[in-house]
Amino acid sequence: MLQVDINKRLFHFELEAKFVLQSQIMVLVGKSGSGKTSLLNCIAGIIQPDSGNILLNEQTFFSSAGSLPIQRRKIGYLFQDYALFPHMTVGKNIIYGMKDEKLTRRLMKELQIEHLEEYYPHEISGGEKQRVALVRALATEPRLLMLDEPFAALDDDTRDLAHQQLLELHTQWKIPIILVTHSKREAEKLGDVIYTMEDGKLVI
Amino acid sequence: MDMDLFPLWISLKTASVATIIVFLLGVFLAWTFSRRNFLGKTVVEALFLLPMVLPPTVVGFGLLYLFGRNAFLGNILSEFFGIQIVFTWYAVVLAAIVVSFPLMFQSAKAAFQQYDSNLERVAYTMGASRIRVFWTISLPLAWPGLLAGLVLTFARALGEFGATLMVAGFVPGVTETIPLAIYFAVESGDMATAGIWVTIISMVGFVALLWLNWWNKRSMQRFHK
Repeated sequence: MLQVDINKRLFHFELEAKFVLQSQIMVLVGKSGSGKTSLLNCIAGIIQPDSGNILLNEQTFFSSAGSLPIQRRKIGYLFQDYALFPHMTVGKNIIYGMKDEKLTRRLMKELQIEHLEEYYPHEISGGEKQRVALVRALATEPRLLMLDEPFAALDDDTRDLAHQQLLELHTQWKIPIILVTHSKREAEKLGDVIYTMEDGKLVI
Repeated sequence: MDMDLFPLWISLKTASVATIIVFLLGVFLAWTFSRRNFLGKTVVEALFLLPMVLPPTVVGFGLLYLFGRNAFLGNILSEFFGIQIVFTWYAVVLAAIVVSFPLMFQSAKAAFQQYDSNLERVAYTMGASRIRVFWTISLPLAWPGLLAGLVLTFARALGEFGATLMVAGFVPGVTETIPLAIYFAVESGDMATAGIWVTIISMVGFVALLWLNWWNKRSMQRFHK
């Protein structure tokens, strides 16, 4: 269970977010620059809130007493442009934070990227990059998965397939997932709970 | 023609030692400065780059002021470690370090800023330590820029003249680098010797820049085939 209750002064506005998330898919919609990525960055530990609390399964990520280092939060974070390491092959990208080889192999098979192992990120398609980034994040066995507009660069067919795969993964993994998107259709299709971010304020 | 090769040896030795020190220091500081914010950062950065815009005589004067026989740091080094800096080979290295450091710092900082910092962030979320992130992500991605800085540092250290003359003087066989040898050969009217040294140092500089251009072209194509 993820519990978030934070405030953070940003350049244009104050980010205020308060929610509790069980093992569900929470979809975050809102205009560009409304603070969605900043919220994810606060949860990941990339930026620090000014005040409040963040807890995941009773472990404190952030409180007035201090902040848990980013490395110890065990979060899978898919960045908007996937952030695959350009100087490493797909295989090397995936094993970077891998916990269990068997599980990783299974994931690679399920998401059909086994044949890409020796390729570099610039040699594969957008849909393949998205799947590689997803497997790389899941290979660390995260307790929370955050995806920042992961389907934005995909064509319609690839996107539908990716939606299906995400829903299947969620059924298997049963962890909280936060998904940022611009698409209302995507939000309704994937979200158990949908929040809208408006100028840093989270509204359901 | 009878010509001793000491200046070549001293220049190469000085430039190599200075380059190693400046590379390690420059990369470490540039990585820290490109990733962290703290009070007074811009002031410290301006101080780091100062030797690039100051006349070499000012740098030399500053070094004399700090490391001279009766100066603060000079005293400490000679009292506690028995090391004398001015008018020794150490002074030649020190001058080369100070004047070439800004080039390395600037090149390294640009190199660490030219790739997406999310690449480091995603590595942290996967549990990697700062050291692991530096070795496996930051260093390989910044490498082309760092290497460019390394070459520029070596070339600058090799060509250092003004500050060296002030702080190390002209001691044949000890502090006699190629630029100093050229100056004093011309002073004494030995244009032939000066000409040879000019040719040698120009060739070294030219080859370094030629290689740098080739390397830049190659690294531009690296991840964008």
